[in-house]
Amino acid sequence: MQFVDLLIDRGFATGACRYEEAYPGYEQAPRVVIPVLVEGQLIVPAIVDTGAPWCILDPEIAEAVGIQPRAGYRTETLLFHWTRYEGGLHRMRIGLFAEKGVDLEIEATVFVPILRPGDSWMSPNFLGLSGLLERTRFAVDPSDNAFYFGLI
Amino acid sequence: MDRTAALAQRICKRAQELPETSLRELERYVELLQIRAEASEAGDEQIVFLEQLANARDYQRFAILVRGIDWLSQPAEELGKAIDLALTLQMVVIARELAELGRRLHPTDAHIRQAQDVLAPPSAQTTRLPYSQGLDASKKWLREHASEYRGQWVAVHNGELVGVGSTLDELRSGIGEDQDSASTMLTKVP
Repeated sequence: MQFVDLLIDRGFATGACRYEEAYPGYEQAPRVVIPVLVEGQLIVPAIVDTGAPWCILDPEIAEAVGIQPRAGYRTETLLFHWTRYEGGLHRMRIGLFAEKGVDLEIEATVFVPILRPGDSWMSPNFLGLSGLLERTRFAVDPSDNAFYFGLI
Repeated sequence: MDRTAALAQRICKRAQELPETSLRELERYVELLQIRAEASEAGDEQIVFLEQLANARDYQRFAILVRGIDWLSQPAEELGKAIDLALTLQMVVIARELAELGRRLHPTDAHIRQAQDVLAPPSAQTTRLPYSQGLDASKKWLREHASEYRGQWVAVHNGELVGVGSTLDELRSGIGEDQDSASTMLTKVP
């Protein structure tokens, strides 16, 4: 990571990790994908997406860390990538692993979809602008797949 | 000269002397008055009109009206409704402003308290997360093999597949407690 000196040592970022260029199973769609620790319990991949209105988390993952999708602050729908999803907003801890520097944990607002019986969530997890990235300093260096992050 | 014309003349005269920021404020105020007049002509309450604007996805006029309503004179329920409407329109900044205002005006209202809690700006701190061994190797495994497991959940530990399941519950019971740790990466492959 060639900008550690410039970005971490000079205080722009507190940590950095390498990102994957595609979400598992979506090899044809270029993305910035990093592993995150949800509620200090599970590591899952998530797409960094400033176009996502909120962080979005698979309801099965939410339940596995003790969050009931129906217990959230109910919003009618979330319009995302031209599709409407029903779900609720929850507060949860999202951890970013640093390969250089120090880890970061963010208390974020996360949208968890509420599925109809028999349905399953087939979309990726997202780190969105509102509720997470809006208060996180970040930079991307595509020359070596580096994702720098830090506190404001 | 009737009252309206006299007022218009006064505004025109003063407007020329106003700085740009005050002009924009005046424009917003005139727009707000116009929206209120429309609501009144339609015989609607402001909140009902707010709902109509939200349903029509009229973001701009919604923002003007919602910020122009005297929330001191409105019950908590109406303010809660406005927060939800703002969220429906994904106007997060406005929803947050209203929730913050609601916390001050109606501190005991459960709906507003929940909104304020969940809409509070995110907070971050540096920390030491549980040590995660072989995360790079696991990412590499997923890059190379994930597509072989479409529609399934997979668990990868230190670059090795340690479990497959049709649900996350099934996957976690299959891999057991020792593998279900901060070093195991779990994902569903769409």
